[in-house]
Amino acid sequence: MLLNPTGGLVGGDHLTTRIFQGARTRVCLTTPSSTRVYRTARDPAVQETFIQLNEGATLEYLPDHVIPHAAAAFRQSLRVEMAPGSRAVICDALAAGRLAHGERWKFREIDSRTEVFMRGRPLFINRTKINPEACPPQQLGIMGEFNYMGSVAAFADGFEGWEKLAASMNEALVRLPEITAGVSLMACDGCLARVLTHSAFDLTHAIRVLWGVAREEVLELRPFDLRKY
Amino acid sequence: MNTSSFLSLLQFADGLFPAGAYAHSFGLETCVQTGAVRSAAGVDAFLRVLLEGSSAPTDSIAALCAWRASNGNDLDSCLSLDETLDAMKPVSELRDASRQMGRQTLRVATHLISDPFLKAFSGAVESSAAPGHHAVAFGVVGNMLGWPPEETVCAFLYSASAALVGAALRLLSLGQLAGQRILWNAGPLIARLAREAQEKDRADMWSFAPAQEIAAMRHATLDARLFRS
Repeated sequence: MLLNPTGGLVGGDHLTTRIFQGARTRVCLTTPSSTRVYRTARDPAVQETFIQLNEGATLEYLPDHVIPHAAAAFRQSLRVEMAPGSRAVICDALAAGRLAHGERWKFREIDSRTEVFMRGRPLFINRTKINPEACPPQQLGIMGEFNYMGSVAAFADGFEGWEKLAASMNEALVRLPEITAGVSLMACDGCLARVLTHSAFDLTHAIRVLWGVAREEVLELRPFDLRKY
Repeated sequence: MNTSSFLSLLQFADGLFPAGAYAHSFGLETCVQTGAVRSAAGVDAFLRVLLEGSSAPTDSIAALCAWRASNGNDLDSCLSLDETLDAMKPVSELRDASRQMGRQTLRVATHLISDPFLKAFSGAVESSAAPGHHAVAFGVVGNMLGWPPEETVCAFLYSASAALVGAALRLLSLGQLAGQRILWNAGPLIARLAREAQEKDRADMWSFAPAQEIAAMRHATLDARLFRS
């Protein structure tokens, strides 16, 4: 469990986490609850995570969603470097704001970067910039009427069952008609599922379901309950 | 730009150019089938998100960086840019569309022109050492044929827009005049995005159009399809 000592991030905060996993180690990382980013007057709140997986290591990275408060500016990056034979399931999730307070797309800016490298080659680079004032996310084709977005990505060296994983994820998504979601295979060694939901409950549930499928098929581990709530 | 450069730009950006864009809807077909896009206004909104959320911040910057790499005779930079772009396209149908259009662009270019840089880059693509994305191929060819950088980006974004409108005319009962109106209205946006791209480099590439991405992911699972994406 990655415990955040402040309970939230404020402008000027700069959190750096570095994790080195030895050969054939297994780690499941999560947070105790969502990450709040408070109103930032000047500099953005910055969170950087760097994870290096040695040969045959397995990583599950499941932070709860980020909740950007009104006028918050947030910059986050996650860089995962994978060695031969290593495997990883990585989740990412964001809320439009503090919906219970009527805040929806009221933050200033989010700049988020996720990069996954296998043997030094880029497998997956996802860089997102959201500036609600310049380009309203409520537009059709961006977020539409949805309030939450999440993704579950699986990466594995020497894994053959990608088509089957995508089919299993699609099958699991058919049972979640209240969300909109899609699954696609990456150019090599990876699979990505994206979901858009109306509620935090639907988001958490969808991510848990997709994580469970990836855990079972890619990591060959039984689904398990994080028992946080 | 001299007349021969201008003529070559017209040829490579023309709808007659056999890049294969006519086979792709870039996720629009899913949106038409689900009813999310039903009219000219819907196509107009879809096109704006396509341009502002992915074509401009990802592909047009890549085209510009490829233009510069070609101008500086830096093949390594061109190849690593192509590799980065591949990792930035996790949706298989969109990645395949971009690769196929890039390959076709290079095939025509090498047939018409003899140039060592073009030969080296297309050789890497032919031997599958490089994915050969459309934006990269377009930027390389543009520099070689003497198109200024801003015009190169403009032409790239215009071709993407024309391809989408072409798909819309086949998917919806829209007239030719409605299609031309959508393209005409996109003009100022294309001009602004091309101008803004000029100060950017590859570290500035991003995308944010999750609903469009999901539509493109789900396209592969549609029962009946007219397009390849």
